[in-house]
Parts: sequence; structure tokens; C-alpha cells
Amino acid sequence: MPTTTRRSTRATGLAGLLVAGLAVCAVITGCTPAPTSDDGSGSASGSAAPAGSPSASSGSTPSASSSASAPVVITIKLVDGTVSPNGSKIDVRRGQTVRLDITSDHDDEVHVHGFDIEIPVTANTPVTKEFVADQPGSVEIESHEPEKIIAIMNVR
Amino acid sequence: MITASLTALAVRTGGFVLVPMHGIGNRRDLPLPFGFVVGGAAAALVVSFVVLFFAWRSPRYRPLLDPLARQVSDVLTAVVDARGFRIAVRVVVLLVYLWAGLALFAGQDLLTNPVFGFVFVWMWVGLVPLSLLLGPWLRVTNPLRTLHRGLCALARTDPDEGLATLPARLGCWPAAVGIFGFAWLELIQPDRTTLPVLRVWALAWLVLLVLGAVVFGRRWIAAADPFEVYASAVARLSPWRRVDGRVTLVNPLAGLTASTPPPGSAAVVAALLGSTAYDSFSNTTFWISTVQDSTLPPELWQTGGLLVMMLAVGLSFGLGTVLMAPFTAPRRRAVELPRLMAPTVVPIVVGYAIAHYATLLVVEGQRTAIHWSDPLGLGWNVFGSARMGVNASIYDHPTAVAVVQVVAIVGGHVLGIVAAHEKSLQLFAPAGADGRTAPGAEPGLRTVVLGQLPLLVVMVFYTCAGLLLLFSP
Ligand SMILES: [Cu+2]
Repeated sequence: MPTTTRRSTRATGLAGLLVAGLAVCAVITGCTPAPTSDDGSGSASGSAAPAGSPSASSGSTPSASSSASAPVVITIKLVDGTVSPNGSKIDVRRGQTVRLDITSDHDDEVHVHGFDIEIPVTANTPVTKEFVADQPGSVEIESHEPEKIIAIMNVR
Repeated sequence: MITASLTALAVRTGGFVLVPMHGIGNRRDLPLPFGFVVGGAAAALVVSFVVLFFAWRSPRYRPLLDPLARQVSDVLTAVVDARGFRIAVRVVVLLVYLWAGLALFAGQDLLTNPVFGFVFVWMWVGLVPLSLLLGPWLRVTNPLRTLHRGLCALARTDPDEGLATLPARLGCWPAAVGIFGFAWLELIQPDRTTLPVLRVWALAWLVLLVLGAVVFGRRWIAAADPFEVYASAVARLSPWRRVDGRVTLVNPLAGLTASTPPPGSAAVVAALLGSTAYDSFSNTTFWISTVQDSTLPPELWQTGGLLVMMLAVGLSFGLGTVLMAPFTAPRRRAVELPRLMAPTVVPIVVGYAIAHYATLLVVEGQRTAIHWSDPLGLGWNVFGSARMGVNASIYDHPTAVAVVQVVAIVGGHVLGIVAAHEKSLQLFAPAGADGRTAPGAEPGLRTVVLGQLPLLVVMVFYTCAGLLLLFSP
């Protein structure tokens, strides 16, 4: 009998601790969305810059203004079969305007997944496309010739 | 609510259905907020050590199943075993696959063809919730088995008998290779959402499995069909189990630790976990830019990355379990332990699957259901779903999705370590003749802690890695 009691006490204690652990997790996690969204609105350029830095050497660091109405500008260069930015993550707030400034040394197509925007690109002719990121989610911006991921846009 | 968002969607897209230009799942989940990663990892760590030091010290679910931990249903057993019921469910599932086959071989090569969603979403992702809920449903209704049974009936042979004997050592190793194959198709195969490519894979699957069943008997299907083996692995976590031939409702943890997995089971869970991990890893900026900067073909990198992920999981799991050997009583050979412990990773596999693919299942699953009415692209509306819209409002609740992801991964981890704890104790404490733990054979604290520590560390690593990969830097 004593062992059974001890066992059940232990089991109850364990269950309690599991719940407590998950509660701690919930509390910690429940607090975070605020700072995250602050990050997006307060210093959008700050959060976009590190994401773009791997490809900063080519001077194409995506920049975003801190003002709500200012668009997020992504400068895209398609040269010699390479893409710049090269798979960077870019934070965009929902409802913000995104502007793509594209230059390419060949005829291509830039495709914004999720929003299903396809932008035909002519060799050596800069093209600009603006759209409103009106739906949250993570979407790829890719080139089709060759098929490469230029950037991943995190709209939240 | 639903109508409102559907209308919004229809307005936004200028039509009823969002048609993706290529590929399935054009939108993915947002990265997990970093606080969620830290919180989840901390919770996993705390719970792990609490279980290690404070949970029960003597096996709870031995022999097989405590009468307290089960509920037998004779009515359910009678229904499930009724010949008419079996034939009916087999026919229904076979018809579903035939319908998909019609779309595959006679449909149009467009993303509105439902076969793509059927294979990548309904079959591969959908089998997880179905197997959790219904147990080994695919083993009963697998269309490959139905087909093989039909062939055997025509030839008047016994489906269990083949021309050769499948070596028992092979276990489910062929299925581990099959899971690698499917993961390669799903994540690497160029033009995977075009009909010619998918036809080749589907035919290869059909021919290899049915021909193998003719040669080795239908045991081959349990050994080699990646879908059935995946479903059976997940079904171990379902509350349904046969005990003495009767359908029984059991504590899933008891069911998990009572299973005797075949050889290759560790490879199967490693392949499953590794493929999900690679799917996330391949979305990081580091990986994308590395592959795109290289002059080597991307498929080479991707295949290497997938293999490395699967091997990393397999080797770490192998190491964590092999180190348990000195503590086992009666002493087990080290090579047996990965297989014996493999079912305890199933909750982690399921947690990963939910965290990665729940949104995909909800959104693309709906899209597949819509296209399901018109397999040939002729404007049919056979099931009345053709004019429905996809409700993608799940994307409007990124915080809720993130909470589900963390709870799935951490919850899977908790179930995994509790199952591993119980299974370890069963291996550390010799059983008497009645199948119960022999009196006085309870392992000491040193054995309990040291024996489990390596695997516990490995599981914590999987969980933290899983959370970090969802953060997707
Ligand atoms: Cu595209």
C-alpha cells in the first residue's frame, strides 16, 4: 500500500510539474509577440538589414523605412545567373507596400509566391513593381531563369 | 466568419479558387518568434530532468497492459472484424486511389489537378492524424494489399505465400529507403508537380510493391511500403491496440512501450525525423545562399543535405540508445537497443509533423478537396466541392499557429521522454515468469539516471533543433 501511495503521489507531482512546465512555456511565449511586432514597426530597417547582410557586398541590402506608410524597398539584381539578395529573409508588416526595383542582364521573370505576382523582366531595362503585402505568411520571391530564391518575405 | 473570409479571398483573387502558379503551398508559416523557441526549449529541458529524477522507478506498463490501463470493446471488435466491414472500407479506399489514378493518368498537367495534393498532402501528411485517430487503418485498407489480394484470388494462391522467403533481418529497412525516396520526391525532385514526373514515381511505387508482394508474399508490403510503415509507426501512438485479438482502448504510452518493433524501425524514425528537419533547414538563408552560390548542381547539395540530416538523426539516436546496453538486465546486445527504443521517438516524429505541416494540411488539403470534384479538368462537380473556396484564414492567426507548433514539438518531446523512461525501466528491470517486474529487481537510482541520460540528451537536442529550425534564420 505505501508504495502505491508514493507512486500515485509521484505521478500527481509529475503531472503537476508537466503542467507547470508548459505553463512557464506559455507565459514566456505569450509575452513575446509584443516585442516581435514592435521590432517590425519600430525598427523595420533594423530587422531587415541583418537579413539582407549576407548579400550586402553587392550593395543590394533590402531597406525598409520606419514609417508605416513608407514602402519596403527590395533592390534585386539578376546578373550572370546569380541573384541578389540571395535567399535573405525580409520582414514586412501586413498592409505595408513593397517595392521591387529589379535590374537584370537577361530576360527573366520575377515571381512573388503567395501573392501570385509575376513580373516580366527585360534585359538591361530596370523595372519597378509595387504591391501591398495584405496577407500574412512567409512567401518566396524567386527568379525563373534560372530558378533561384531571391528573398523570403515574412509578412506579419 | 468563414463566409466573410471566403468572400474576401474571392475578391482578392478575382475568382473562387487561388490557383498557385507552381508547386504546392506557396505560402508557408511565419518563422517561430524567438521567445517561443527559448520558452519551448526551456520547458522541454525542465520537464526532461523532472521525469528523469522524479518519475516512477519501476515499470508501470508491464506486463503488456495493466487491466487498469485498458478498455476492451467486444462490439467494436465484432464490427471491425466483420467481413462486410472490411470489404466495404477496402473498396472505399481503393476507389479513392483509383480516382486519384484517373487524375494522374488522364487528367491535365496543371496544378488544378487534384493528384498533386492527394499525394503530397492527403496521403503523406493526412496519414498522421488518421493513424493517430484510427490506429492501423492503412494496414487494413492499403490499396496495394487489396490489389495483391485480387491478383492472388485470380491466380488462386495464398497472399501470404510468395516465391521466396523475405529474410526476417530485413525488417522494415526497405521502407526506410522508401521514405528517403518519398522525401527526395517531395523536397528535391525537379518538376515534382508535373504529371510525367509523378507518373514515373507512382508507377515505380506500384510495380515495386506489388511485384515484391508476388515474390515475397504480402509481408513485403509491411516491410517496404513507406506509407504503410509510416502509418503503422504513428498508429503505435494511437489509443487503439489489439490485446489477445480484441480491439482495446489503451493508454497510448502503454501501447508505445509494449510494441516489439521490427529491425530497421530506428532507421524509419530517423528517415522521418531527418526529412522534416531537412525541409526546415533548406529554408534557411544559410542553406539557400550556399546552394545558389555553388557551381555544383543544386540537386547534389539537396540530396547530400537530406542524407546528412537523416544520418545525423540515425547516428545520434544509435549512440544514445547503444550506451544504454550496460545497464540492461538481462543484458541486451547493444545493436538491439536502437530498434527496441525506436517507438519512443514516434511522439517526436508526430510533433515535428504537426508543427511543420498542420497549416499545409488545412489549406492545401482544402484545395485538393475542391479539385477532387474535377479530376480531368473538364468542369465536373462530382462531389459538389468544385465551386467552394479555400479558407486560408489560418494565416491570419500566426500567434495561434506558433503556439500550436511549440505545443506540438514540446508535447511530442514530453510524451517521447516519458515513453523512453518507461521503456528503459522495462529494459533495466528483469521480468519474472508472470511478465511482471521480478520482486526486488527495481533498478537503482544510478542505473535509472545514467542509463537514460544519453538518450535524454539526444531527445532534448532533437527538440531544441526542431524549434530552432522553425525559427528559420
Ligand atoms: Cu515562381
